[in-house]
Amino acid sequence: MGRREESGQQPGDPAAARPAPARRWRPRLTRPRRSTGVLARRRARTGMLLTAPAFALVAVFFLLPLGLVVYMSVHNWPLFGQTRFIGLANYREMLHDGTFGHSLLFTAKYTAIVTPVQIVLGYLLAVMVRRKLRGVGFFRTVYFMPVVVGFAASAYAVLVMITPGIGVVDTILKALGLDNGQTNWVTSPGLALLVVIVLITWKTVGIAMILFMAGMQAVPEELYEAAKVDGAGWWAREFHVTLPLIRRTMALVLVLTVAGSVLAFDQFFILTQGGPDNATLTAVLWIYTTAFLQYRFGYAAALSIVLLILLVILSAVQIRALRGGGETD
Amino acid sequence: MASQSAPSSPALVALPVRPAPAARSRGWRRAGRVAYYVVAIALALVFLFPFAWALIRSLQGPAAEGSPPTLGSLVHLTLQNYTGLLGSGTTLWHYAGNSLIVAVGTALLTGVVATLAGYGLSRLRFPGSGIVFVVILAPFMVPFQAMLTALFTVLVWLHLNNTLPGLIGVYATFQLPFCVFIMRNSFSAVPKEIEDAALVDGASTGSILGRVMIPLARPGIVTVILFAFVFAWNEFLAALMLLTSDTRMTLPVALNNLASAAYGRVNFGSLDAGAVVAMVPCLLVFLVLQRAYVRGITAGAVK
Amino acid sequence: MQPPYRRAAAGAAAVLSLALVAACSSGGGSSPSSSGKPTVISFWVRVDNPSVGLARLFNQTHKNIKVDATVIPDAEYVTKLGAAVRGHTGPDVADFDDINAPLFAATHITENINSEVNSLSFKKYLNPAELGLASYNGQYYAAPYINGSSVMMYNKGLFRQAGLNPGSPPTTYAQILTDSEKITKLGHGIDGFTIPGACGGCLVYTVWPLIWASGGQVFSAFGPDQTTTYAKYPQVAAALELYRKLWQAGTVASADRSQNGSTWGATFMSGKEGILFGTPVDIPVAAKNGVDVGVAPIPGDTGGYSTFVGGDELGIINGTAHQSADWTFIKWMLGQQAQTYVASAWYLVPVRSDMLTPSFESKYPDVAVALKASEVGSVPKTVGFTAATEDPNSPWVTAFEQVVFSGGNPATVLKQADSSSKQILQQQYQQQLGG
Repeated sequence: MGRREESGQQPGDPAAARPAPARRWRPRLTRPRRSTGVLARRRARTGMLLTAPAFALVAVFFLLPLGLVVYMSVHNWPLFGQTRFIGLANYREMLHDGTFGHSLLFTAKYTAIVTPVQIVLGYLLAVMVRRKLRGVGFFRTVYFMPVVVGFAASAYAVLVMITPGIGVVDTILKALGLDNGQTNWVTSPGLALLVVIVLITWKTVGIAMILFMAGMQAVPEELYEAAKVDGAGWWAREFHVTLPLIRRTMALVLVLTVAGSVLAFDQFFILTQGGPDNATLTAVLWIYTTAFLQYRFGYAAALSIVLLILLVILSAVQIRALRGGGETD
Repeated sequence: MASQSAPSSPALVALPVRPAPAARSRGWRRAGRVAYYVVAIALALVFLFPFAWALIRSLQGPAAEGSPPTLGSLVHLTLQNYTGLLGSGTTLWHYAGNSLIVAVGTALLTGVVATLAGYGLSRLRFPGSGIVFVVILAPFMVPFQAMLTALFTVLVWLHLNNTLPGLIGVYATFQLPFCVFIMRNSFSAVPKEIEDAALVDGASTGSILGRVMIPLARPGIVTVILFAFVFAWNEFLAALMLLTSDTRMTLPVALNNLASAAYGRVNFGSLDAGAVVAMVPCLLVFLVLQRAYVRGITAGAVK
Repeated sequence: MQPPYRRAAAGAAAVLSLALVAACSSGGGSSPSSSGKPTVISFWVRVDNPSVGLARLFNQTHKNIKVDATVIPDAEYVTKLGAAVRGHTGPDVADFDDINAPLFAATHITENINSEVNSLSFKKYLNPAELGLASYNGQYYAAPYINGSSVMMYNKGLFRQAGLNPGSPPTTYAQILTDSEKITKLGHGIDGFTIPGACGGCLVYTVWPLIWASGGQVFSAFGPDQTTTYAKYPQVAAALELYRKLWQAGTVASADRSQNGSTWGATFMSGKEGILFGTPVDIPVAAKNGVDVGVAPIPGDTGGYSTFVGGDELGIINGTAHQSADWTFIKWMLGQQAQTYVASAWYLVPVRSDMLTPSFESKYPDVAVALKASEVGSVPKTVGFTAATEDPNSPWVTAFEQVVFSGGNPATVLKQADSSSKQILQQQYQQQLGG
């Protein structure tokens, strides 16, 4: 996609709209500048100062507890009472834990399905609401509304809506003659997955929409005008103008969606409880079971560490793959 | 100007070139607009449907729970779920007040810290800034539920357990990955020339940030504040596990307790009414912030 | 030069002292009693039960002790309590689900109150099943507080419509089946029976009394070798087969298969359902909707009856600084006034059989039925209850689903459930008590 050619130009670069100046040399901005010099060193120190509060917060409220979690993961850590150091026994047990493996597979399957749905739909919604038509503010609000409602309440609302015989979904299906109105959506893994996907998409696609909107803001209108003059249709405009220039936003949305799906918990907890018979059990749901139902905090800690490592690797891969626009991310 | 930009943009070189279509007739354009509105409205209906349904159910009595919905039941509406909620003493307002403190505190803390860090990581690179970014992103990659008992212990060590500031610190930390990412992207999208010009003029980092960068990154900041607020306002599990005394409890926990009956039963009328009530402040915040957001976008940050 | 700095220093001191005051007032918990000031004891309670109301009543009548109640949802209760006790920030007294009593006793989350319990004048009237849960190595670590025994409720109006005698509820499995079928024949979306099909806790509460009443057992003795005895006793398979017949005869709503407890009993309470095994708490709600509710104990296969003695116990939590105030409160909660409140205000069952007087029976006849049944009721004593039966994917729930809804062979299914349960129980013992 011509990443190399784009070096020296960032999204929204007004230089793209102006004729190229006479000078040949442009500063290479493909790598963090390690130039020496007082200014650069002072700026680096300022950078450290500015980043320090965030790092401090993360160190205290995340790294510290994480250290404790790692500590717990090498112990037998019951509800209350003596903890016992057991080395890597928890991790060894995890390797033989069929339920965990099964839950990882299901989580992967779920993520693979839900991520493209959310990204594509979020992108399309952003395209729709970034135009300056009348009423677009209303649509933007409506598409974002599900994000602000509490998760438990919306999941329970859906649960009632899909209750066979009583819920409005089955009532409508029966009225339309599509089935007998007694479909039990939750006891069939396929249908349950469908319901969960619809719920989570409805609930979170507004986030992707807003993020894409913010990213699209940086694409100058002139490029679209130029494309239209060249005769590019809507799809070609999106594919050749928008997508390359919102690479960083795409990375953000992708990392967000994937991480959110890998860590999926609430929707399954309320709608299916992981059933029937563990068919819709996600990794975090299993971790919740070991911690909150079996009170085995050491083992839950070990599972969490493994999940964290998996996710960090996954996110790093995504960020790397979507690096672009001239600046290394 | 538009035509001059075409050749200098490498992205457009690869465009498939078609002969320009015949002049778009006004009718055709109107048809496109109608199609747009049809799709947008249909989607809006789908998005609104669960809300409408929850609203209706929140206005129905408990008898409606066990029976399929009929048009007749839509006529018998009652406010008993709401009076039940608000009549449970003035303590519901107290819980809402706690939630407000936590949500505003989280929004402000996250907004400030993420903006500073986003700028630092985007423009003021230093050795190790890549690692710092990964570390700041890490809270996002961990199952929150599993961290809670460890978090609780750490808060006890810091004497912050059962305090609202402690909860704000936790919420801000777990929103930082997302918010720093957004701010970093926002700042990176600002062209270097603008910043370089200010630097050449001898501006300090503080005034560059305050007078140049932040206004240009306004949509990002608004997004960060909005998401931090909504997250902190609705968050349930951490509030439950990290707060203990009744006087500190937040609204989601209180609503959950009101909607829970013994033996795992859920009082749906109460739940739906609670959800409707809890949603209102968030929507208000969204509507207010949305104006700033749109202003930031249409201000044509770059032009 | 001096004044601005002095002002700044004064300002800083003011801010600092404010911060200190704020910091000192944080971190809940109890404060030591000094002359004249009441002792404050923190009290964790479960959702939706009399405890908050009772704490308020206690505070009104006791000027030297103030009880500060906090409501904690069930799903997070045990984990939160464990984390708090570990961090020395636990409550003074806790009201908890009685099936957790063995776990709390064995792990010393609740303190030894053996002499206190034995000193109670009415100790011999306390529910024996709940007392059994509270004892560990022969000593008491908790006190029974609420008796939440399960009963059979039935819709007398529907009975009449179906041609059944509203005064004679079913007393055998066969009668349950035929009565349910007759009621279902009334049509109009009316179901004869209801099954909380995906809710492990609801199922043990309603199915196990059938097994006990027929002479079966589900758990072996408390100890590290404890296992379930689903396959050992034919009564277990018999009870599951009753449910399968009820399901296959169409007497149960299809939604019940995925009932996870959140709307359990809703159809009965709106008058659309014939027989509900459950808790008497539902009765006033049903009555408000115009249902004429009849109550009877849960029967066995060919007669007899039993109940699942659920409910709450009170314990003094490890780390408290106010043992005597705590016990004063607990003793009051077991007193006549409090126990009467449990029945009158909440339709829950008292833990004292000496309250079963003729006047009580006439005032609260439905609660009296449950109280009488609870004298012969049972409740399993184990530290692995939640993991082995309440977890939605536990061996118990899976076995139930397989036999009742999927037509599985009880012999093989129950044998598998036993072996999975044994694994879980052993793991729980080792984990919580092994050390």
